[in-house]
Amino acid sequence: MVKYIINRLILAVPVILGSLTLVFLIIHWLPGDPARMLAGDDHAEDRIQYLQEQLGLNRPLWVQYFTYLWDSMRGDFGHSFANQQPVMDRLLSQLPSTAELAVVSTIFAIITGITLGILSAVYRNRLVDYVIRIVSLFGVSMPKFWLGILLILIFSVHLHLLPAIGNGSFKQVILPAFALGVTGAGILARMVRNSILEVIEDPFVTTLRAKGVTERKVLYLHVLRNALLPSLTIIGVIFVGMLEGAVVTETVFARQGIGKMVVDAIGQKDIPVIQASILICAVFNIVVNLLVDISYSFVDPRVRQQSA
Amino acid sequence: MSIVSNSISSDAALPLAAQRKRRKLRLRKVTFPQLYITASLVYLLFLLVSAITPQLLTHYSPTAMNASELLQSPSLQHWLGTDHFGRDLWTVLVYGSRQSLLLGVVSVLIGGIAGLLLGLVAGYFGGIVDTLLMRLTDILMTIPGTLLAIVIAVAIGPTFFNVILAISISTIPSKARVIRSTVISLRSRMYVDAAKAIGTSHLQIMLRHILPGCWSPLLVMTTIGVGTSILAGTGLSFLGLGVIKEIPDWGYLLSEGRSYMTVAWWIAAFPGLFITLLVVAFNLLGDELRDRLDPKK
Repeated sequence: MVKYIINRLILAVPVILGSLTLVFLIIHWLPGDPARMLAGDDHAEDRIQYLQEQLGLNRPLWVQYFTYLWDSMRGDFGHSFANQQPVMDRLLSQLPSTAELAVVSTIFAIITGITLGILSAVYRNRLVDYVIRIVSLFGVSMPKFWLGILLILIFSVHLHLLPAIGNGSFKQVILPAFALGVTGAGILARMVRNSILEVIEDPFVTTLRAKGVTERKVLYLHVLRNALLPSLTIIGVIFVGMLEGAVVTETVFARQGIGKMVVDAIGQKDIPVIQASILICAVFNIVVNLLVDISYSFVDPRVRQQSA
Repeated sequence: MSIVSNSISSDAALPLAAQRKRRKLRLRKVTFPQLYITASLVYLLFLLVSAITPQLLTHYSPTAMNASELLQSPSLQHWLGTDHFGRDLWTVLVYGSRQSLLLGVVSVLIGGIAGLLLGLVAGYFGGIVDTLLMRLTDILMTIPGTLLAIVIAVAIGPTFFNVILAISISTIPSKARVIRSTVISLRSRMYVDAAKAIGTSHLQIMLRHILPGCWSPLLVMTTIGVGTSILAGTGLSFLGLGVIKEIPDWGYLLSEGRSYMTVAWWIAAFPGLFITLLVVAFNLLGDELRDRLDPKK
C-alpha cells in the first residue's frame, strides 16, 4: 500500500514538470507585449524599456524558463503585472471563495446525482426513469452561464428570493452552486443508473435472490455498494471540473474567486497570474486523481490486491 | 329476440373495438427513445437547413437594425422578440447557426483525426513511443479543457479558425486514450498475428485490420464531442474570447443579452435554448449510437 502511494507520487513529478513547461510555452506565445500594455497609451519608449527590465521580460527565454521553474517549485509565482501584489497572496485571498463554491456544488451534485441515478435505475423504463434521464441529459448539456442567467432572472429579478451577485453569505452561494453543480449531478445520475443496471445482472445478485433475500435488501445492501464504486472516480473528475466551471460561473454571478481572477488576468495580459492559476489547477487535478486512486484501493479489495 | 339484438350489436361493435385496439397498439409501439431520437434528428435537420439556406426560414435580414423596434418582446411579427439593435432575434439565431455548427463539426474533425492518429500509433507500437505519447496526454489532461482552450485562444488570437483549433487541441487527449485502448485490444487478435505472419507491413495492418475496429468508438465520441465543442465555443464567446462578426454567434448573443436581462429576458433565454437543444440532440444521438454499436448487445 505504502509502496503503491510512493510509486504514484514519483510518477506525478514528471507530469507536474511537464505541465509547468506546457503552461510556460503557451503563455509565451501570448501576442502583445505586456510592458507596452502596462505603459499605457503614451508608449514612451524609456518607460517600456524600464518596465521590461523590471519584469524580466528582456532576458533570454531559457533564463526566464529556468527562473520560472525554480521559483514555481518554491511556491513563488512572482508579482502580478497589474498591481505588483505577490501572486501567491492574491491566489490565497481568492481561494476560500472558490473553495466554498466548489465544495457546496460538489455536495449538491453528489446528493442529487446519486439519488436521481438510483431512482432512475429502480424505475427502469417507467415514466420516472424517462423524466430523470431527460432532466439529467439537459443538466449535462446546458451551458452553465445560461443556467446562471436563468436562475438570476427567476430567483432574483422576479421572485426576489435570493441575491444574484457577490459573496459573503450562504444565501449568495446557493444560486452559483446550483448552476455549477447541475452538470456534475447529471453526469453522476447517468453513471449511477448505468452501473446499477450492470451490477444487477451479475451472478451474485441471482444467488441472493435465490436465497430469498428481499429485493430491497439486494438493492441497498449489495447492489449499491458495488455500483457506486465507479462513481468515486467520477466524483474526482467532477470536483476538478468545478474549478474549470468556476471561470464562467464566477463571471456570471460576479463572485470573487480564482475563476474570475483568471478572466480578469487574461484581459490584462497579467502573465504571472495566468501562469499561477493554471498551474494550481493542474497540481490540484493531479492531487485529486491521486487521492481518488488511493481511496479506490481502500474501498475495493480487488484493487488492493492487484497493487500489493 | 334479445339474443338476436345482442348478437347484432356485438357483431357491429367487434370491428370497432378491434380497430381501436389496433390503433392503441400502434401508438404504444412508439417508445420514448424513438421519440427523443426523432426529435433530435428533426432539430438537427432544421439547423442544417438554417445553416445552408437561412433565407428560407425568415424574411428579415440579420443585419438590418431598426431603431423603432428595439427590445420588443416576442410577438406575431417577431416570434422571439427583437434585440438591442432592433434586429429580429429569430433571424439572428437562424443565421448564427452556421457558425455554431461549423465550429462544433470542424473542431471535432480536427480533434478526432489527431486523437485517432496518436492513439493508433501509441497503441499499435507500444513501448517507448506509447509511454512518451501517453505521458504527453497526461500532461495535457492536467490542464482543464476549457482553461486550455481559453489560454490557447488568447495566445494565438481570436480568429474563427484559432478558436476551433484551441477547442480541438483540448479534446485530443481523451480521444487518443480511448483509441489507444481499443487498438491494444485489437492488436493481440489472431487475424493481426496472421497478417504479420504473411509479412503484411505495419501501415497495411494498421489501415486494413486495426482501423476498422476503431470506427465505432470514434463515431460515438465524435457525435457527443460536437455538443461538447459547441458548449466550449459558446463559453469562449461568452467570455468575450470568441470572434465578433456582424452576425453574432449564439454564445456572443447570449452574453450581450445578459446586459439586458432585466428588461428583455428573451435575448439571453433563446440563444441558450438553441445551444442546449443542439447539445442535447448530439448527446442523444451519441448514446443511441453507443447502444447500437455495442458488440455486447
